[in-house]
Amino acid sequence: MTTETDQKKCGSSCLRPLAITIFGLLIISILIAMPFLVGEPNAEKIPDIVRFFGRFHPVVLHLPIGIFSLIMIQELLAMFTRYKPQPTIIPIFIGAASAVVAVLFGFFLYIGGGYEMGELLQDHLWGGIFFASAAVLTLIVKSWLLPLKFSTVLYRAMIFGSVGIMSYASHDGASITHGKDYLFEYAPDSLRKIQGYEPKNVKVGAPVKPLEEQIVYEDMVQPILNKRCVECHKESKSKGKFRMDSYELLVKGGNEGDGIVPGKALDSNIVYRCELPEVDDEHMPPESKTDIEDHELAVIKWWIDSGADPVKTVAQLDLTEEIRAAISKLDLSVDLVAGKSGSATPLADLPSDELLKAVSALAKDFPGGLTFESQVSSRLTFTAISLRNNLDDQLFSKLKSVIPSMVAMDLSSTAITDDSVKLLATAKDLRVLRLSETKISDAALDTLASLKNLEAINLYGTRVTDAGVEKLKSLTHLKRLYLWQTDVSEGMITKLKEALPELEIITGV
Amino acid sequence: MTNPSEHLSPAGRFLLDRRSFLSTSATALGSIALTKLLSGDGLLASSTGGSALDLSNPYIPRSPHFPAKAKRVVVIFCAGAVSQLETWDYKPELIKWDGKPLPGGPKLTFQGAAGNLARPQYNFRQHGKTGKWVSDLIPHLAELTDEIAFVHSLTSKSNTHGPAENFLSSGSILDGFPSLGAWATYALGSESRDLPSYVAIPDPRGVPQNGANNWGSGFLPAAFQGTVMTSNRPLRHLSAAGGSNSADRAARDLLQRMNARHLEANPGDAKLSARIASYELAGRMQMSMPEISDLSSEPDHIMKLYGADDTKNPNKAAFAKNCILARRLVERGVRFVQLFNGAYASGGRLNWDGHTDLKGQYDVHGAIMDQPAAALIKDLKQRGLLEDTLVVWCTEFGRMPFFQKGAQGRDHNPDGFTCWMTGAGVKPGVSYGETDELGQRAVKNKVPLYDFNATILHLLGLDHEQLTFQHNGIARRLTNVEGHVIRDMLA
Repeated sequence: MTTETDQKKCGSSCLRPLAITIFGLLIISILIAMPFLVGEPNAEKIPDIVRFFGRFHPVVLHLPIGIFSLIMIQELLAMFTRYKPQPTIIPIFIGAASAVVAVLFGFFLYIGGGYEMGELLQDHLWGGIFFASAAVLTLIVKSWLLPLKFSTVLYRAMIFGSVGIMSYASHDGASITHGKDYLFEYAPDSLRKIQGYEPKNVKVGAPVKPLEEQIVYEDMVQPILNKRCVECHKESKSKGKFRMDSYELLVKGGNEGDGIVPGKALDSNIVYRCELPEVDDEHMPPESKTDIEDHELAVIKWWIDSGADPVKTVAQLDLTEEIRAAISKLDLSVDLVAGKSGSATPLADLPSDELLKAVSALAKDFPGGLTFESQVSSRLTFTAISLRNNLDDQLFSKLKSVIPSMVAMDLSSTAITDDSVKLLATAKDLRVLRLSETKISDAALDTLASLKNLEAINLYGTRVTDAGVEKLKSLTHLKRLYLWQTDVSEGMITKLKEALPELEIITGV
Repeated sequence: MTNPSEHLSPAGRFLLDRRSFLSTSATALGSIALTKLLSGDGLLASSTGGSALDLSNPYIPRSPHFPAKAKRVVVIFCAGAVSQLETWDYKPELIKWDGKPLPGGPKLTFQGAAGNLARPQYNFRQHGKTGKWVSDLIPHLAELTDEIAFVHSLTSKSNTHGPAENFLSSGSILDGFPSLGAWATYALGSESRDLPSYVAIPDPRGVPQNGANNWGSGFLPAAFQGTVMTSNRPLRHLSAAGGSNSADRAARDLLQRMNARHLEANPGDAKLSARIASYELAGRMQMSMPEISDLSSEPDHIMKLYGADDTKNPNKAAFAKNCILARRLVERGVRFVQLFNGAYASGGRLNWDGHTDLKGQYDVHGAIMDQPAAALIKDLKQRGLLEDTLVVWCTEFGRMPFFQKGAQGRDHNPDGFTCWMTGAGVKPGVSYGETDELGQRAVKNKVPLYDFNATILHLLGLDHEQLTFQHNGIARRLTNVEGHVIRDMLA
């Protein structure tokens, strides 16, 4: 009797669940077998079309998340209210299908290269496969539930289970894309504590770490190694049994012996191999990889020669001008400037505390007058644009201590005289100087002639004459000289242009 | 810079001391919400770095991201869409095709049916060492081409004046986004203590179609919006109401001390501190502004250079006076000046929107714009201000190579038009990008307006990707998620 009813109930309508079951189990076995059958990711061997579809992983993956969440909410409503979800298989079918596609595309993305197999990726891969499998199993249960009308408990448990696995898998995926700390970066400290994070230590508007406080190994050497070497010398791919992703392993070395010999850069393997000619088979990085830059190697050698200490700061080592220049070329903007990585902001010489103090003390007398040339520069610019006639020699002399840091000064329309210009003798880096409409005379130009880095001098509306500007002939870097409304003669202008062919002299219209 | 708070006002110090702020707050959740709001105001997040933004003194100068070539910008904004074909983009092929239909061309454009191709309405000749072809409509500006970097391949996202003006001025076709000048002053503050950092000078005949949105501060703090003034309508309510100057100053000093005490009693009130800053600036402007806007001190040869003495063309004389005002503002350290040419009143006849009688209209506008704008550049140059001032000439889009059906004018064309820059940091004598041989579409080195704006920020020492403001959960930029600096235009 029962069998008969069952057969009657099922009959032809059982064909569909049966097909779904067989097809579903097949798909699950393919998904699970997939990571074992396909080898290491290899960008060169994977056809472009596979990599193209891989890029759609971030798009497709949101479909199962949305659909399964919706189904779960519907089931919750059905449990606690009189709401009845429609008895259709379509949503769960699309949800499971999109989950399978998302996992496939995710796998394509992974084997297309660019992702390192680590714990996180491993978890995400299997999380995804288990979720897709759970989704397909749920679909199978649902497909039988429609004709056979057995209890919904199993089905609901599977829905909730699927959503659980899904949350786990998608969190790992998001962590790969955004970084592990992404979700809790701005969480209240109480929540962060539960998750095992340190309390937020947000240095708001705080100055970037000054050069002297940078730890040479951590802030400079390891980032260079990460960029140039670690791709092949790391946990998952330790070429020559040599890992370079931590200080201990770097010292330990590999097949060829010690990685570094503290105090002896030229005897250290990592330096020695980099310094071999590029045609040498032993040269590192190998031919197919981007070579290490000279300034990067210079910093590494400096660090090893200084004892290869893992915690010493720049201030504790002996910083020469050459090394300072090499450091300034490193792309360390991440560590130094609150901003995105890879931007071209050069590491620069940040102002000393002494200079900062001097500048802030002067702010009262020269409101808005002193500005650093950039956020990472110790060079100053000065403008008297708000002071104009109120700036006389006496007030100007207060600037004396910061004048050596000046790169640009606008002193136009002020009451200063030649006496103030004399103070500029220490402004060896001064490039742009505006003295227009002031009372300066030829005597001031003796001082200017000694400032060899001047690129532009504005003398319009001053009393300078031929005798004065002739002194500027020695300024070989001078590019523009403004002489409108002065008594300088045509003859002198021609003479200056002969002496300095690159110089443009502006005399007005 | 061990303790940043030393450089800040009481209000700024309070805001920076977030930990004590959190610990003294009655409810943690409330303070989290407030912290969020404050960071949205850009008070906590100092994306412009250098000295953190301090709303009690929003105009204090701040350092750029990297050393800047330009400290100031003058934008000459020609509203109504200047035809590239009658000005800077020489297309001899059009002369050959004059009067013929464009095979495969659009049947319908912005305003209606398309007519036949039409030759440039002015003769072109070569100028300067670079031999740049420029039309006879603008003979004075044509003399300066050796100093200019042109972009001939700009594209806009809208072919409608209002949205396209927005796009040019604020990087978004929608209203309510901060203008370029607001971004610049938000990042850099003001060089001048006594003047607004950002001034918009509308055409003497009226404002452009999208009016104040062209100089608005959008979601940036209100302190960074443009202040509107023209030479014939200086700022209102600035004259002191009786009393001597010294008494006035003494009264303001007292008021300032009282305000400072009030602020210390009510720390953290950004609006209060911003209001005090604005009152103080207004007080100083009572002294500085009358002198600046009084052009009577300009010598005759300068008035003549700009054409401000042209009694036969009062509109030109008035625009020329605006140009002189622009120079005077730049000379006194105003960071950003927007100088408009062309007004929207009367539906486009008073600007460059040449739909029906292009030649007739351009004869009028060319004469108004050309000499004063050229004189402004020459004057900035001889005073040495072009050394660190960037001058930008721009228009919201271009015009079609064909006339409109039954009319003698060209319709809107956002697919290829010309703007240019000169001055600080600009490579002189450059022409970047090209349109096709009829001047309809950019075909070589196509440049979305985003790139043009990114380049202006770059010259100011600002990375357009780093200059952000947190608004509605998004770190907003002038260039949205677009923009590339046009390196070929940089010296």
